[in-house]
Parts: sequence; C-alpha cells; structure tokens
Amino acid sequence: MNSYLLILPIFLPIALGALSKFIRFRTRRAREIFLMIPVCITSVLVWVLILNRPEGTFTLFKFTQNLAISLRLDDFGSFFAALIATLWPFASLYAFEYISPEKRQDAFLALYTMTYGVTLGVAFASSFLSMYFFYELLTIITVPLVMFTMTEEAKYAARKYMYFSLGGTAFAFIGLIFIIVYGSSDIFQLGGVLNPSDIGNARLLQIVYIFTFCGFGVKAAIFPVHSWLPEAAVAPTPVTALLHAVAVVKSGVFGIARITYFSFGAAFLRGTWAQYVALAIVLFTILYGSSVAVRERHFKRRLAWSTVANLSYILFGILLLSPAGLTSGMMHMLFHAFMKITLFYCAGAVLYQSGREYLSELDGLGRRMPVVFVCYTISALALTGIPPLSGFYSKFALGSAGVSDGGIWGAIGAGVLLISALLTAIYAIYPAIRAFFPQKSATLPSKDIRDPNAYMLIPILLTCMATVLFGVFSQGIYNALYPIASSIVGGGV
Amino acid sequence: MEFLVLFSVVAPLLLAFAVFFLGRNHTHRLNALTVSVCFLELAAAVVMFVVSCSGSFQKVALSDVCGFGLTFEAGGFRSLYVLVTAFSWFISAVFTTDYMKNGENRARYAFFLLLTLSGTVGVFLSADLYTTFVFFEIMSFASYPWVAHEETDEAQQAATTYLVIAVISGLTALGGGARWRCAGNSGTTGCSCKCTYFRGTQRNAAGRGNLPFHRIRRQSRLLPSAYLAPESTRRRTRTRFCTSLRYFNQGWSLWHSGTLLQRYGW
Repeated sequence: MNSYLLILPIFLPIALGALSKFIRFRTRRAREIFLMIPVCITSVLVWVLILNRPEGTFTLFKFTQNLAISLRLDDFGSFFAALIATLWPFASLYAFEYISPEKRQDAFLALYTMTYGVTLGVAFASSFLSMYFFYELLTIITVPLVMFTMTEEAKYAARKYMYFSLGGTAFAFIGLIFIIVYGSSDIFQLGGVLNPSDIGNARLLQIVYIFTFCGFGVKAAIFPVHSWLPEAAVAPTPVTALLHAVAVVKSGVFGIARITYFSFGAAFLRGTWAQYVALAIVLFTILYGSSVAVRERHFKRRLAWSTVANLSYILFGILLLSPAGLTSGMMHMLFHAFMKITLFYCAGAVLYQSGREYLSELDGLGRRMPVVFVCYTISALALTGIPPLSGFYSKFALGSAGVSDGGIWGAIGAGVLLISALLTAIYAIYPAIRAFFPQKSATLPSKDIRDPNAYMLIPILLTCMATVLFGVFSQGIYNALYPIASSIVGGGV
Repeated sequence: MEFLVLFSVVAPLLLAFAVFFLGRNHTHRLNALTVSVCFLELAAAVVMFVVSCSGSFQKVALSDVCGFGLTFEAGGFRSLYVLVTAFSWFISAVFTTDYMKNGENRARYAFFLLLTLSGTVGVFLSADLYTTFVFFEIMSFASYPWVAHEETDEAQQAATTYLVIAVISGLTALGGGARWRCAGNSGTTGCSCKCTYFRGTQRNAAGRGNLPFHRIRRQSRLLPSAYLAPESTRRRTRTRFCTSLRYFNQGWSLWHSGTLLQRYGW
C-alpha cells in the first residue's frame, strides 16, 4: 500500500470533526451519524493499514533538509493505533448520549472527533519531531474538552493540565535537541539513533534522558507531575475515559517507549543510573497512586488515581529494557485501556442517571443499575488482578519479568506490584460492595434510577466482555506481542 | 471422561447465569433449576468416581487459555473429593429451598452457589499449581456474597475481613507460585521450593483459621457469621485443607501450626 494513505486516518476525523461545528443539523441523530461515519471509517482504515502495512515514510511538511513532520507505520505504532482505533467508536457512541443534555454539544463532539485524528498522528509519527508536533496538538485540542463545563473547578483543572503539559513538552524539547545533535537523525530507529562515536559525555545524555522522560511523563502522570490527572476528573466522563484510558495518558507512555527504544536505545540505557532513577520514579508512583486512591472518596477521582498507578505499571515493564518486560508493559497497556474505560463508563453512567459522585452515595445502586455495576465489578476484579480476568496475566507477566530481568530493581518492582494489588483490591472493589451490599441503615435509591440506554450500555458491555476475553486468551496475546518486543529491544538485530 | 472433567468444572459456571436470569422472578423455577444443576454435577461426579475406581486417570489440558493454560486431572483422591463436594452442594441446594423460603436475594445466592461450586470443583480437579490458584481465587471471590448475604452490619464487617484475608492470602500464594515458576524455569529448587510451599500453605492456613490468622478471624467473628451462610464456609475450609496437602507431600507447616493451636489454644 502507498504511504500516502497514512494521512487519511489523521485528516478525516480532524476535517469532518471541524466541519461538523459549522453545519446546522436538524436533529441530534443527524449530527451523530455525520460524526460516527468518519470515526468508523477511520477505525476500519487504520486496521486495513495495519494489516497491509505501507512501505516507506510519508512526509507531511519539511522544515529543513533533516527536519520534517513525517508518518510511518511500524510494529509499535501499529499496536498503539490498533488500540485507539478499536476503542474510539465506543467512546464516541457513549459520548453522544452522555453529552446530549448539555449545550454546546456541537463544539464538544467536534473537538472529541478531532482528537481522534491527532492521537493517530502520535501513533504514526516516524520521528521525534513529528511525535512532538502531534503531542503538542493533542494538548491544545484536549484543553477545551477538560474545561467544557466551564465551572471554576473545570477551568482550574484545564489550566493545570495545560501548564503541566506545556511544561512537560519543554523538557521533551531538550531531549529532541540533544538527539538531533548526538544522533544520526531524529527518525525513530530500532536500537536508537545515538552514534557511539559521537556520544562523548554519556552522563550528559543520561541526564537529558531523564529530562525527556519527565517531559513525556507528565502525560503519563508520573510523580511528581501527576496531579493534573485527578483534577481533570471534573471533565465530562467521555473526556476522562479518553484522557484516562486511551488517548492522552497512553500517548505519554507511548512517547516514553519511543524515546527509550527508538531514540536513546535500550543498549545505551541498560544498567545505567538513568534506568534506575526512572524505575525508582515509576515504582514510587505506583505505590503513591494506589495509596491515595484508597483514601479518595470521589468516584471518578478514585479511578483517576488508579490510572496514575497503572500507567507506571506499564512504564515499569518498558523500563526493564527486556523483551519480557516490554511485552508485559504492552499487554498491560492494552488490558488497562479496556478495564479503565469500562470503569469510567460505569462511573459516568452512575453520574448521568443518578447525579451521584461520591462513594457514600452508591449504597444500593447495584439493585437499580445491575448491568452497570456487574460490569463495574468484573472490571474492578480484572484491575485487581483476579484470575482468569485480563489484569491478572499482565500483572503476573510484569512481576515475572521484573524478577527475571530487572535485577534488584525488578525484584523490588515485583514486591511493589503485590502491595499495589492489595491496595487496588481495596479501592476498586469497595464501590461494588457499597452498590450491591448496602448497609441496612442506608436509604435505597429511588426506583426511577435504572441502567442507561443502549448508547451507553453497549460500550460498557463490549469493553467489559473484552476484559474477560483478553483474560481467557492472554497467552495468545502475549505470544503475538513477544516477537514485536524482542525486535524492539534487540534493536532490530 | 475428558468431557466429564470439563463439564464438572464449566457447567455450573455457565448454568449459573441461566439459573439467575430464568429464576430471579420465579422462586419455584429458581429452586428447581438450582437443584437440577447440582444434581447434574452430582451425576457427573458419580460417573467420574466410578470410572476412576477402575484405575484410570484422565488428564485434560487447555493450553494457552487464561495465561499459562489450565490442566485438570480426574482420578483417585480428586474424584473422591469432587463426589463429596457435589453431594454436599446438592444437599445444600435441596436444603436451601426451604431454609431460605422467606429470604431475600435468593437468585443472587443461587448464582454464587453455583459459581463457588465451579471454583471448588476446579480446585479439586486441578493438576498444576496455576490451575489450583485460578480456581482458588474464583472460589474465594465467588463465596464473598455468601458471607455478606444477610447484609447486616455484622455480616458486612465479616465480609470485609474475609475479603482482605482472601486478597492477602491470594497475593501470598501468588508470590509463592511466581517464585516456583521462576525457580522451575531456572532449574533451581531447594530454597525456592520451601519458600513456595510455605507461602502456599500459609495462604491456605488463612482460609482455615490456622495460626496466625485464627485471631483475625476470631476478632472478626468471621467463622460464626460465616456459619450462618449455609455450609459454605465449612466446605471452603475443607477445600483449603485438601489444597494445602497438595502443595507438597510433607505437612510440616500444617502440623506445626495445628500443634501450636492445640497446645496453647489461643
């Protein structure tokens, strides 16, 4: 296939999303159809491109001879693109219903659809500069979504998100400069682009790696640049599901993986203090995020803190710099996306149907919204790591990779994962317990409250089913990802 | 025989959903379906036991399923315990029709009754540590609603304690199992084996109320509360005992903790 086709999945949702803002639709259904069609076509197109991968690179724009915005589809980009392409139609379907009572839903849905194209740009980016470009664009396009409700809380959250993200990309820019100076180019290559003869001061480059890691780590919500994520829970649930499950946070993780394996290179970083510092940061983040989640009483913010911890699970696997580590990190990236999006959908359904936001208000809601809370329970058990659900295998794989490949830090990581699993059990399962086993003294919710309609229920059920199926077929997924990870870690050798 | 083994494990799991949805608004139908499923399980267990008596041991491996694959084996000790379990469950199901005739949430109770049956049978028929762990977890979590069934404050407290102990002991067993797996891969045994065995037995000790977990259970009044949930805890206790024996032939940890409990009685 021709590499020109790579621009289509990016351009289509951006163009039609923007266009939808200016068209006067007679009915809500007409707008939804207009937006759903490009989303579905884009998803199909992405899968076609993944299965019939175009050769070569498509250059969008050239700054200089060596610096350009260009697109290419490799194994790792395909993995991320497949994840986004699979989840976005569900997210859109859910968003249509959720945002329907709001004014300015035309603006919301337009930006929501455009975000799809931008995120695919991150996946398809063939160079550090290209990824940086789409990364900044992702920040700009998602800020209005965070502040959509225009409450003081939402505006504050959006400002914080923007300041953190832009600050993070400033750090990432430092990495870009050094990679261009010390590397053969900024194009992503298996094994990295650093010229061993040009490196000279390796310690300086390792410091730069840490800066870049922290830069992309803002979106990956590592400590101490994580606090924007729970604040952003104030945004409408389709946005938090996007931010916390699919697009933004996974872009941060994806960016860190790219710079680690495709820019700096695993061989350069393995066994260095830079790797250990990064590992220490993510292990602390796991414990910190899990601990704070236990304390948090707001339903969506609790899930947001859970995301802070789980993103660092993925980073732990990536930073082990081994095939098993990267494979388990990718597995958890995939499984966590589905688990977390289901959990957020359920929290959003509760908010939408009953207006309840806090854990103390969930008593007995399981009786009124049984489908939502059954799906919540299944996903919570999966997130905890209960077999045979998906989260068990990815966490087990992470722990095993840590013990076998990570030395002392890997072993510490395995212990941290066990502690975090206990904390996860507490914070994730507790809402389900309140919902299904209310205290005798609690007042049961009104019988008017019930499960949402098909627009919201179908995405919840499908993502929940996927959580179960991934668990059953986890070995097959591991076997499919392992060769990709081996090739990346081995530098293409 | 392969079909029987899989049927014994999977059928209650799948039929639990049918029982729940078909029976939740019809008490008589619910009772009939629950008893029927348990009877089917008992029939399968009887056949399996009879075949096993002839000395045949059937192994069923589902590779690449649920991670490392699941392996089951029917024969001898396993078939006997599946028979005992199926019989207990059948009797309980019959007993429950009258015992809970005025109770609430009967469909929920029936659903988790069958789910726990599936988990328990899976534990007894498991042929490797991983399969045992998977079904042990299913059994543990599926039996949680039983402990909390009455939904009184006492039941809630007991259920919370039960859940915490189940999670902690599950993680402990997981740590041992992972260590075993890593040791198996690297070819080392010795210390790894003892470490794994210790963790595994302590995990089961938690469920049985052995030292040092008995005090937590006593304080939480878990056992008395759980005894109100018909038969469930006693069966699980028996299951945990048998699972402990299966970690290794030696029972030194069980013997020690049991002896200490007898001697000092606190």
